[in-house]
Amino acid sequence: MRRSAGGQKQLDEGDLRRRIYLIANLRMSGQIDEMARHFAPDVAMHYHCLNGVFFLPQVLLGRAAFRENIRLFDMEFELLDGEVIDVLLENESAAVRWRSSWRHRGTGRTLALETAYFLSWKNGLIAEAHEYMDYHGIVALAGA
Amino acid sequence: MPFQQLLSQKPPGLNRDEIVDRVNLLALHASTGHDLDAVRRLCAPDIVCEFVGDKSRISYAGRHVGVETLASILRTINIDFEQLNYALSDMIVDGGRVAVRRTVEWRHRGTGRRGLVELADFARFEHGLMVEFVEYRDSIAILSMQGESDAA
Repeated sequence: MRRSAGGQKQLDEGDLRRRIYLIANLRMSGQIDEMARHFAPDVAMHYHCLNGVFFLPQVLLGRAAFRENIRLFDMEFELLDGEVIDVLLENESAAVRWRSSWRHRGTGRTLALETAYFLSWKNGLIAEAHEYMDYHGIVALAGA
Repeated sequence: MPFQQLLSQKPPGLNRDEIVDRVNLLALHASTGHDLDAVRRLCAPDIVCEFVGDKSRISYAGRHVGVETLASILRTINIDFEQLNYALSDMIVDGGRVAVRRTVEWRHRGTGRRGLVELADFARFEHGLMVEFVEYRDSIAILSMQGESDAA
């Protein structure tokens, strides 16, 4: 990590790559509070491909709202496994492909999902994130 | 071919600006469907492409090999949907790899329904040609436009 002329923290590519894998591992091991520390208090989370289905809004503002959203999601779905399959880095932005397996706690159905994330860091923390998930698969998993 | 050569990544053969130009060109031509020759010219003959989604609902979902297969898929999509107002939201270029967020306005030619489809694309270039392409798309929006009432 280095500091810009304005005194802000700047992460190099090695830092960014390590953080992405760390965040993925924290998500998979259920350490959500620890994971949330990598996000800015005013992080903007954009959920794409939703089109008004499910309980998610299309944008969540703030770490607390993001944390609560994960809690709601985990109440309904159990994360079985996951792996980072691709990471692209440029300046303080990253595009990540993540494959995960889920089980719906009500129906018992399981499904492997691929998700794409576009992340940007500011002052050492994720300030903006865009998620692209096949929500059609998730809805089917819930038996809707 | 030596084993090490199989594992090592081949050079993209393009600088950042050239990659950006090719991605824009491919996205525009593939979206409008007017020039599938551009797809054939800019993609490797054995390109691997993947459309993330439910194979039981989206006929072209899954992994495919070959530029003619990709051209056929794009032609099929363009038979069903008119695509307008392509807009690039974000692009990350990392060596020969690129990730793009974009939106396209789609109109189903059968139902007439319109919708904004959000897409995330990942691609890789080798020796100036696209060799790998993965697309994340809004299946719910697409199925809804097709008139499938149980899309969501």
